[in-house]
Parts: sequence; structure tokens; C-alpha cells
Amino acid sequence: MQAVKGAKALWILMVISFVLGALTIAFHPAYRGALTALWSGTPETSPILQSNAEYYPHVAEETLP
Amino acid sequence: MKSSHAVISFCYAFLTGIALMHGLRPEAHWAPVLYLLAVLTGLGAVAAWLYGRRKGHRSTAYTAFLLVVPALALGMARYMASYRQPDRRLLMLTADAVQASEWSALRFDAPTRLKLVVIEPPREPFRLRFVGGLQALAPVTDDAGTPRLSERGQWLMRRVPEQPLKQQSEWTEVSPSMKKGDYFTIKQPFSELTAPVVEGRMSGRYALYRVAPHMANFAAARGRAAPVGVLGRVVRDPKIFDYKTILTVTPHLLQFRTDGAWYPVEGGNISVTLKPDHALYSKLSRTEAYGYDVALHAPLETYRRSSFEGGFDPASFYTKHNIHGSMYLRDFEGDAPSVRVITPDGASEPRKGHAFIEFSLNLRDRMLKVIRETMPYPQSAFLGAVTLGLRYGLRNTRTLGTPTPFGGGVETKDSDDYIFEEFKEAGVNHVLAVSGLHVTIITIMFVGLFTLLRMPARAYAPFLILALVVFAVITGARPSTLRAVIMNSLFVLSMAYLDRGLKSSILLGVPVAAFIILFHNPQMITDPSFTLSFGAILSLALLTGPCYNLLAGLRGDALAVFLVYYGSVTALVVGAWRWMTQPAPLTALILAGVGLLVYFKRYKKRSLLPESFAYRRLPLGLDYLFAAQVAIQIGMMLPLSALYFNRWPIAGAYVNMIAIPLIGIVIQLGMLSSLLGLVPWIGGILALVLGAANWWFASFFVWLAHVAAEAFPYPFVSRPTAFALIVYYAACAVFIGWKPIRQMVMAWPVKYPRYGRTLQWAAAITGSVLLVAAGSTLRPKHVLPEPTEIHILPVGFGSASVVRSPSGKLFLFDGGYVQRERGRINPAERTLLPFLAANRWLSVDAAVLTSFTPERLSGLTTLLAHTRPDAVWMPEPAGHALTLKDYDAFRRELLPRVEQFGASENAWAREVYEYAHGSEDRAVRPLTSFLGPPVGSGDIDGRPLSTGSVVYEEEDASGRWFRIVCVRAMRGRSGSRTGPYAVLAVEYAGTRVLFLGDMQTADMEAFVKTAGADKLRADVLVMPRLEGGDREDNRRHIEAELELSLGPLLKAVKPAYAIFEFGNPRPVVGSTYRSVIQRMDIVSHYLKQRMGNRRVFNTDVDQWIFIGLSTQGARVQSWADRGHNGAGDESADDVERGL
Repeated sequence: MQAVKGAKALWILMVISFVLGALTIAFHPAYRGALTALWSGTPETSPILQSNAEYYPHVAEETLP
Repeated sequence: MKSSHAVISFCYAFLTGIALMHGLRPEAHWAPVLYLLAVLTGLGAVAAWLYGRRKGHRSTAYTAFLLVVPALALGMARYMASYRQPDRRLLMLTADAVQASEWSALRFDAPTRLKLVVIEPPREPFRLRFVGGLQALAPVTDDAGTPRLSERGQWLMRRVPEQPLKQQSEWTEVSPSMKKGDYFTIKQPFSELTAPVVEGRMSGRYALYRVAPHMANFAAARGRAAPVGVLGRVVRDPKIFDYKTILTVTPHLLQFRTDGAWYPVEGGNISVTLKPDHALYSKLSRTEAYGYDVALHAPLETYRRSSFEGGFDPASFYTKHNIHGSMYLRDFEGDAPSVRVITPDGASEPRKGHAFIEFSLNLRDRMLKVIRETMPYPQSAFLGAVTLGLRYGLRNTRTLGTPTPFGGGVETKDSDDYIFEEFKEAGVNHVLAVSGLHVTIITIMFVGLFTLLRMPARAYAPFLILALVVFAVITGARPSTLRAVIMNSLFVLSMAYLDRGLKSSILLGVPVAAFIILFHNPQMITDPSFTLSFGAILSLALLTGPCYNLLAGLRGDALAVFLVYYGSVTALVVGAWRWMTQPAPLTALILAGVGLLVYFKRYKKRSLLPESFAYRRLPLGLDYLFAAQVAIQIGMMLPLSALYFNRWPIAGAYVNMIAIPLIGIVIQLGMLSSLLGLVPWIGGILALVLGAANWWFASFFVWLAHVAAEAFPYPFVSRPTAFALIVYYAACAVFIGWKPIRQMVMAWPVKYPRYGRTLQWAAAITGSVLLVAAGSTLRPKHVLPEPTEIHILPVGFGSASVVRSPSGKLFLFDGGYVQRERGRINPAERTLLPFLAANRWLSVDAAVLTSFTPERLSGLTTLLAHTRPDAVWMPEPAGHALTLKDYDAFRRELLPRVEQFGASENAWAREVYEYAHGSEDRAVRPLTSFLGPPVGSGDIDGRPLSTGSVVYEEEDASGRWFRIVCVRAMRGRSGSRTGPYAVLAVEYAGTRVLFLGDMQTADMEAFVKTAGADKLRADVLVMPRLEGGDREDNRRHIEAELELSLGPLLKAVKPAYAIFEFGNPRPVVGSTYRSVIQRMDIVSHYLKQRMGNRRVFNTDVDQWIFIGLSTQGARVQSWADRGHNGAGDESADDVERGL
């Protein structure tokens, strides 16, 4: 019973988050830029990724093209 | 009794055994005896159990009883074997009992050190020396001199020379005054021994031991360590900060001298630090470095012990984590490279670590990559810390900087706006250390996901447990995470396969998890991450119910009055914390709270407000959440935060009501998005959408901590005594079992008609006496037996002292230097305030700033914020500079001849100005904000220190005077960093301590001539740092200068002791640090030649130095004198000498 309640809460959280996330991408310039970069296949131009340039850069070295 | 109860009894008996040994700390060589006892009693228990079954005794109580003794012995043995690697006894040595055959058997595979322990002291003195041979080990190297690894990862070694060289030890003098247990460590190593050479008549009995080749026996004290070679392997995921990386290395072989012999190492790790300017930084500051075989060459140092009583003890902390030394890697031209990554023969790349751990860490890096692509900085650093345990990446992350309605004016706000610092102040830093909360959130998320996928619990349970284990690995497997993973796994298993509830899982899971963690590492029993984690879960399990029952009775008027009371207390905490800490208001508030509870318990009249206005009806489970918060505050935060950190994060009690549900959302969304991001193409888009939603929640969390850090105080509090803690937890136990205890006590008059009432009174009186006795142990301490105490604290290259008068008045002299660059160090927070809190000295009468140099001034604002003295004394005319807001005018006033100074003087003038008047870059409260008009708007008196000023004086009952006086206010000199400063004297009963402040050699002559003989004489001289500015002088020049300046001063003062306050000068003086150190060495040597080695103290070496003044004169002792000097007698230096 507890598990079912937990699953329901997680479902609601995910639905709300997808709506909220979509709205954020629509109106937040950095997120809009990130989506554009992802869509155009140039993730390195994402403003979000660029803001993280100094944060654990070794991860980027391996994965960025 | 269920069978699980037998398991619980076993685990708790094991814990008791460990706790007993932690208290008693007997010698490690008893461990094998206890292991044997555990095995024998275990076998006995099995036999008794089998016999009992045949006889029909099937009760589990009987089984549990049988298990207690072996579990106790096992716990004791495990603890003893863990805290010191036992040395191996080779033979017993007596005058006639050792045969030549026994000596010939003493051959070792590798160089071995010896220890001779006195079993029975001799009747007359004699001396002996050990003789034998030494054959060393050396690695096989390639053409470039790089050590080689075999294909299977073994270091290739050879013996040099082929035949052992003759070796003999120094003479060991044995005297009849020695006691049983005294021992000698033989400095020279041997690989074979023959009968020793004895001079004199040998008597008594001695045991000869082989010293365990453990890392704890190899590292040298800080500053004494020479570069050593280490061949080892990186055994943990590197800790990557944004300004350094720390590797954990298990050494296999160790070399003390270039081209010298190599020792095999058995047990213990070291930590290895690299900075970004190191050539191999990019290769080693990444997850792939885990598993690398490395050859290291750098000084190997022990961690320092606590530098004062009650201070943080890094050596003890790292020993608990099996780390016994540290290396800092730097490459020097012409020297061997400090680190080489070794590839095994025949392989194309270095070895990797354990496959499962490699898989987990690789998964973490991929998830981190998704976080970097879906969450902007600094929220990404926060999310990486809470979901992946990457809290090191958050260390220097500044907060969002959102303005708050509170504006940073709270009394105890004392740090820059780093997320890490603000989370501590807000009481929510527990979310940054992955713990039970995180594991539970992840468990709930996966259960929800699997349920959404309509998988039965029996099917998903193994996958869920595997996911939790992977999560524990990627987050560093801290004790708190392991505890939660074990408990949650037990819960999932019992839920899926045994159909048991949560409560039974907790009751079983807590002791089982504690057993598993402590069996692996018994030293964890007092580690904060272990005790706080178990404290939290036990508080939740045991105290939430009673707290809830107490609160659940609140309804109608009672709830309204409670809310008003709670709101009033909160307003007082935020608005008038200092007033709240006074005994009278605090007692009144507590009594009012208890009175209200008792009143409403008996309040039977009809409520004016509707009964439906009830605590039980709080929405969204807030009733349970609030009760759980109260339980955690009572059971864990109040007592343990004061014990471990000397501080109370008051904000936590409030903020966690929002922070805990919020972090549940942040972690779940973070985990889901980073897992979704691993799915090619569409996964990236979905992760970005979830990341965008989570950006709101993460930002809100960081902002919430920012607001709370500014709104609530984060005060230092007195550290509780062990007795007070025992009584406190006994009171908690009574609260938990209040109903049955009350019933039992009320039944006494019926059960024992004769003395039942007397028993009740006795119980009540005993309880009250214990509470009062516990409270009385929290009074301020007398640290020294003398009436007047002066404590010179080790704050690096800075000054900070505490003076206590015979009547208990407290005075602070200077506040130390706050290093605000990467790796922020505030000595006021780190040393001074914990020292005051440990001695329960939180109320200070006055602070004295002897000069405006940054190494005296910059920690002062933190001290003022926490201790709130009545007055701050400052040297004139520098005090006047504070009234000047214009920087140039300030500089001219502070440094009258500043135009002649170099760039460093201008830099420190700017720094002093910023501390005095504030700046945006230094987000600390300016000094002027504490001081009352006309300087600022605060409430502390700013008083001028001029020649003859009496800071304080008092007369004791015997007519002896205590005084703090300003002997001389000096203007300062050009050519040095010194502005105006004061020379102070502390006097008691004719004994005198002179603080020379920032006096330079050029001032000494004038000081001696003008001060007068009575003002000069002192028993103890607290020396200035005679740094000499930018000048690079040669030794003879400096000595000649000292002859003309310090020489006459010493003749006039005639001190019995001299004290230096010294440390690493680089953060303060910059590039001239080498000349400052050189000058310090020369001055120190000059004084030691004239006063004797043991008469000259230095905080850098001696740590905390204390001076007791009494009618007998001055007594000076240091923390190092009490045996807290960091390194033991078995250090690398000794071994090097032996070779």
C-alpha cells in the first residue's frame, strides 16, 4: 500500500516537473540556448555547459567532441 | 522472544565490547588472547546451545544469553587489534636463558626494526648493543630508472648486497630505575641477529619485539620530514577540489634515502596532495587515477595532533580512516619527479581498480556529465554534491548572491558567502554529506519506479539493493551511507520476503548495521559521521513517538498559546540571541514552556477556539515532520553538535521543516534526469526538461540556506562534559519510557507499603541532584592551578592570546590572521573560539588589539561577533584612523610614512581598511560596525591604548594586584609593515609578562632608553615577529643588528622565558616569506644561545603555550611538553639515522 502511494507521488512529481521544465525551457534564455545546442548537435555551445567550464572539467574532456 | 532478538543482543554486546576498550585502551598485545576467548566462548555457546536443545531448552533468551560473552570478547579484540598494529615478540631475553640457537633463527625477509621491553627491571645498571647483519631490498628499474611492475602487478625487487652487511645498534643503557613496560626502540634495522654484546652485569628480564612495519611507524613530524620514496597504489577515488586533488595511496614499499634501502610496508594508507600547477595534475585529478600504481618521492609527514586541549585532532581523525601520513607533491628542477605512474610490464596502460568500483565511478562520471549539461553553475555544484556525493567540488562555490530582507546584519554572521559555509550556518549541511536521508530518498524513488512498472517486490528487491550498493560506492561509502544502505537493504528484504514492517526493520537494522561497520573499522565508534548518523536514526525511532504524543494533545486554545510561545521564542532567537543566552531569560523561557505544557495537560475547561483546531490535523504530514524535527534536535543536534563542533545551528530546527521535503524533490529529480540523460538522444532532451524543473527547486534550496544563514545566529556554545551527557541521555531515556516508569514508581507505595513513599522521594531527590550536578559541571573551567592564566594560542603567523584574571575576568589579545584565499582558514573560528568553548569561557570582558597588522586584526571581528566584550582597546593614534572613511586619509593616519613603503605595505593597508570599514569583496562585518559612536553604530566601546593606560586591574583577597597595562604606545617605523602598536604588560603579585607587540629591532634601543627599568623587567617576554620587511640580509648582518637591539633589551628585561608566535608566513607576507623564516631562525637561535633551549618557546613547534602567574613566579609550559607534539619517537628521521 505504501509503495503504491509512493509510486503515485512520484508520478505526480514527474508530470509537474515535465510541465514546469517545458515552461522553463521556453522562457529561460540559458535553457533555451541549451536545447538549441543539443538540437543542433553542438552541445559545447550550450550556455549551461559553458557556465560549468570550471566544475569538474575532466568529465568534459572525455565526453565533449 | 524472537530469534531476531538474539541477533540484536549479539550486536549490542559486540558494541559494548568496543566501547569498553575505547574507554580502557589496554595494550594491543592482549588482542590475540581476546580473539581466543571469543572463539572458545563461541564454541562453548554452540555446545551449550546444542546440549540445551537436546534437553528441551529452546528459548531464544537462552541463546541470546549464550551469545553475549563471545560477542563482548570479539568486540574487545577487534577494537584492540585496530588501534595499534601489534608488534611481534621474538624472544625473552635474560642473562642466561637465551641460547645461541634462538639467535641464529632470527632472520627476517626484509630490514626489521626492534623494540626491547622491560619485563623485570635489572638489579644494577648495564648496557647492551645488538649485532647482526643487514640486507636491503631495492626495486628492479628500467633504463630510465623507473621501478618496474610485473605483469601481475607485483613490484619487482632484488636484494642488495647479495650477502648481508655487518650491522650493530647503538648502546642501550638499562638502569634499575626503570619500570615494567618501559621500552627502547632500536634505531638501526636488522635482517638477521646474533647474541647481543653486554657490558656490565646483566640481570632482569626483557622481551625483544619486531616493530610492526605499519605506516603509522614511518611518517615524520611536520617540518622534520625529508623526501622519501614510496611505491604504492591509488586505492580510492581521488578527492577533486577546484584547487587541489587528494589521492589515497596504499604504500607497499618505502625508501628513506635516495639510493637507500627499501622497507616493505604492511598496513596503513597515506594521503597525497597535488596542486593544479603540477605537471601530472590533469592525469591524476580524474576518476581514472583510481587503481594506478605510482612511484612517489616527497616528504612524508604525520598529521598534527590537536594543538590545544579540546581542539580538533587531525591525527586521530585520519587514523580512524586508516590514513597515517601525508605527502604534498611538488617537482623541483634537478630532483627526481615527485610522482610517476607505473605501467606493468607488457601492458600498454596503467592498472585499473576493482571492476565493480570502476563501473560505479564510471557511472557517476556519466551522470555528472549530464548534470553539467542540464544545470547551470552554481546549482550544478549543489546538485552534484547531494546526488553524487561530490561535496569537494562545492567547497569554494559562492552562493547565488540574492539579496535578502535580512541584509547580513546578524550578530554571529562571520563568513563569506560560500554555499558550503552558509549551509553550515543554516543547519542544512547534512544534505551535502550523503547519509541515511539520501539513501532513503533513493530507496523510495526506486520503489516508486518499480511499482509504476508493476514489478512485484520479490522481483525488484535484488536490483534495488544492487542500486543502493552502487550509490554507496559512488558517494564514498561513508559510515552514514553504509549504515543506511545496510538498514534499507534489510528493510527491502524483510518487506519483500518476510512481510515485516518498518519498525521491526529499524530495531534489527540499527544494531546489525553498527556491527558490520564497526567490525570492519572499530575506530569509527567515536567518529562524528558514525555517531551522528546512528544518533539521528535512534532519535527518529525512539523519540519521535513520545514527542508526537506530547504535541498531539495540543488543540484549541492550547495550540494557539503554543504557537504564540513558539513564535515568541523564534523572534527572540533571531532578534535578541545575546539576551537569550543569559541564564535568567533562558531559565524563564524554559520554565514558561514547561509550565504551559503542564497547565494544558490539566486544562479541562471548554476551549474558546474550536477543537478541530488541533495539532493532529496539520496537513501534508507536517505533524509527524515537526515531531521528528523536535526528536532529532533533542536526541542528536543539541548534545552532539555542542560536543563535536562547539556550535548550535539554530536555524536547522526551522529550516529543515522545508529543507528535508525539498531535498527529497531535488535528489529524486536530479537522479532521474541524470539517469535519463544516459539514454542516447531523446534521453538528453528529457534530462534537460527535468533539469530545468529541478533548477527551480535547487535554486530555492540554495536561496533558503542563504536567507537562513543571514537570519539566524550560529553561536559557539560550551562543550558538555561526559557526566552532563550521561545525565542528559538518562533524562531522555526517562522521557521515552515515561509511561511505564511513572506506573512503576506510582505503584511503589502499594508494592512496598513500608518504604514505598521513601523510595519515591529518594528517586525524585536523586534525579534532581543528578540534574543539578550535571548543570554544575558546565561552569567555566580553571585550566591552570595558578590564579592568573595566560594562554598563547597557535594561530599560524599571527597572534591570539587569552588572559584570565584571578577573579575569572577574561581578556582577548588580538585575533589572528584570516586567510581568505582558496582553503579559507579563520583562526578565530578554528582555534580561539573552540578553545574558549572547550573551557566554557564564552563571556569575555574586553578585547585588546595591540596593532592594526592583518595578522592581529583580521580574526577580531569574528571574535567580537561571538564574545561581545564590553570594550575594544586599540593603540592610538591608529584608533583614530577608524573614524576616517576616506581610504587615503586612513592610510596616512595608520602608516604615517606610507609613501616610503613598498607594494606589500600598501596591500596590507588596503586589507586593514577593508577589515575596519568593510568592502564588497570581504563579506564580513567591518570592525566599525561593532564599535559605538563616534566611530560606528555598534554597542562596544572603542578605547584608546596610550602609554600608561590601565586596561583592567583588580585586587584579590590577600591584597595582591592583577593589572593589564599599556607600557608604551609606539608610532611604528618606516621600512617595515608596522604601524602604531602597543606594548602590554600583564602583572600579578610582582610577576610580569611583557607583550612586545609589533616592535622591530629599530625600536628596541629607544624602548630600552625611554621606558624605565621598572617597566622593562619581566619574567616572560612574548616576542614580536622580527620580520625585517623586504630586505634580504645575511646572517652576520642580522646577528650584528640583534647584538645592538635585542641584546640590550634582554639585559634590561632579564626574562626567564621567551615566546614566539609563529607559523607559515607566506599567506601574510607573500613573496618575502623565505627571508622572514630565515630571520626567525636566526632570532630564535640567538635567544636560545643566551637563555637555553627549554626557555624559548614557539607556537609553531610547541603549539598551545600556557603561562601561570602566582606568588611563586611564572610557570611556562607548552602542549608539546605534555606529550602532544605530533610525532612519536619512531619517526623517519630515526630510521634514516639508523641506515
